[in-house]
Amino acid sequence: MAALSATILIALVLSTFTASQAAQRHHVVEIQGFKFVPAKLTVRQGDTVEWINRDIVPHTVTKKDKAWDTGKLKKGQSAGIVFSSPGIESYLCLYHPKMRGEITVLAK
Amino acid sequence: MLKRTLIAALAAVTLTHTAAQAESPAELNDLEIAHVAYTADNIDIRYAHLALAISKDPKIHDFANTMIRDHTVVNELALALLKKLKVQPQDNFLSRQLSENADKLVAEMSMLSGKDFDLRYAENEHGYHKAVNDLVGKTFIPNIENAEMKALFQQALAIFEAHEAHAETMAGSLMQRQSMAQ
Repeated sequence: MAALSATILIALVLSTFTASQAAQRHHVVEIQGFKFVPAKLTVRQGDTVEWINRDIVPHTVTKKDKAWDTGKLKKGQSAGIVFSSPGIESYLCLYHPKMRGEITVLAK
Repeated sequence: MLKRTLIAALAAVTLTHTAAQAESPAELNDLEIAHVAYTADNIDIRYAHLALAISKDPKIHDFANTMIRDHTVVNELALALLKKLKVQPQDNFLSRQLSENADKLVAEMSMLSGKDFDLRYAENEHGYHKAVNDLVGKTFIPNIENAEMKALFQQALAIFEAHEAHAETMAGSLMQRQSMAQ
């Protein structure tokens, strides 16, 4: 009986640990051909999104209200943002404002 | 031996003569196309510096800074490629024509100020990029022989098409503001 309880307890702890680890994922958005690929991405609270610039000219990844900004990314450079709060984060490239993207952050 | 040398010399002169006499963009060789592209980039950088000096509109400044940033990168890559290939760009009728037109336009725009300058600059940027993109996409890229140069021009075209779209939006917004103010 004690062994069974211990087994159930360990399984519960493991599943909780695994669930929290799975939520903190790393996503990649490629900046290519003057587009964010994918342009729309859904992530969970605590996830990181990394943008990598594959274009030959520099870009930025900047939230529309300027709350966050990767700064200038030259070709090959990347930057990541951790999304801690649920909501929709619309962003653009400051240098090329027709380049738009969106991150939907779901609650854990 | 002397006859063969003379024939070779005449052939060289003929080739050079033919290249120098090209009157159509479709007749330009890779090195002349490279020269046109470099000239066109520098012209847009020149217009951008003029905009930074004259305009007080932050959106015009943002656009101008992007033009300087992007065209400089493309020029640097073009020069690096020519250095790698151990060749020099060749001057030609089209580069000269572009430069002459640019001189006139700079003189014209320098006399403008405020919203008049902003609109003229934005409209010119749209028209200039549209014309250059047309030339690059329909004539230059299909005719370029060197694969690396062709690839660079294809990347550059994507950049300049983004510039064209940005300029079109900017010009449209300025025209709307101007007509609302009247």
